[in-house]
Amino acid sequence: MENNNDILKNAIQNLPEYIPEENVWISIDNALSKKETLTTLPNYTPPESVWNNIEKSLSKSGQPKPVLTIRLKQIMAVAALLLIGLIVFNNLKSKNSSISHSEEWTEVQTTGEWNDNNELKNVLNLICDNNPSVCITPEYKQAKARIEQLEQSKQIILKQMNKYEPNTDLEIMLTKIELEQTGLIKQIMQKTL
Amino acid sequence: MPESTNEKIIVQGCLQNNRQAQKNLYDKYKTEMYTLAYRITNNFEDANDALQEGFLQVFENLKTFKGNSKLGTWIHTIVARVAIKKIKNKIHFVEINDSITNNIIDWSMLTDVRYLEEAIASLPAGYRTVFTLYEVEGFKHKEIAEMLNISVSTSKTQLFKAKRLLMEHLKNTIS
Repeated sequence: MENNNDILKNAIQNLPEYIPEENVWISIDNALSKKETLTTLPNYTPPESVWNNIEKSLSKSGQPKPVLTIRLKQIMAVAALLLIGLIVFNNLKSKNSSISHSEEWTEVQTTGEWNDNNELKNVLNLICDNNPSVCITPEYKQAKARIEQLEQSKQIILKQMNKYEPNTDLEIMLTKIELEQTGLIKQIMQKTL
Repeated sequence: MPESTNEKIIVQGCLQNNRQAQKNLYDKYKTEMYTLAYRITNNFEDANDALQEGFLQVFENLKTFKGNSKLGTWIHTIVARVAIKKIKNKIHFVEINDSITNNIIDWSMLTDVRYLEEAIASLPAGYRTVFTLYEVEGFKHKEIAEMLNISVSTSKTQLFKAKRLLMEHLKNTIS
């Protein structure tokens, strides 16, 4: 309920008005000009060859890829065979381990090429001495860092291994580490040649 | 030249992206729209932005204006919407179920319009917006409800609460 509503209406009609600053129109003008400029930018028609290439790619992607599929299958089959072989080999090894613990340990040690941490460092230093330019490349630094990281992992595993109680999982990990280290060293050496 | 004919010429010019026509349209409505934007936002900087953004929308959408309402009303709606958007995060409406008919608001003490302007500026964003749109700008509750995404009854109750608050402010100021 409201009384004397006409007083309010009258007051509202006499409320002050506010005039915007000139820069508001300048901003509007700029925005409009920008929009107009953008709409008047030229259009460019692509050469016919672009569509031809797209069309070719589309028709290629529509066809099956038997060759790639077969290759993938072959690779997967070989990988599976290798994995089975590795498991069987390790099982045999673990069965034989009951004869002599020391023999098992010796086999593990001979799997890798870099038994001694210093030996690994010496090889890396030798590469750097012979070809210093290789040692400043990011690939070399990356490979070296990875080798050192692997070496640390290797030392941890070696501490966990017990001469008189073989652990197949640790042995596999050790072998993999050593193989990767060897691979990285080979890569670096190939670059120096 | 009659006002409506003059406005039609301006609109035609605007539709052809004639900058002078656009400026004429802006000049014609700038004060009304700026005042509306300021009353809603309660801030001159936000009002500047709302005016700029609102007029850009007007020029962009003028081709869709069918002439079902007056051009000024159409521009009012656009600027009001833009201004509301600026303060949307400050508006919090609460549905009120209590009876408001027992309260009586008497405007007899409103002797100076400056007090009213101050009192409007002191209102919380939601009350101020509803009061401005309904009492000052003449929008209907249905239109306000749609603009603010609230129910018609909320718009009505918020308006009454806004008036009650205005009264309290006026009482305090005058006494």
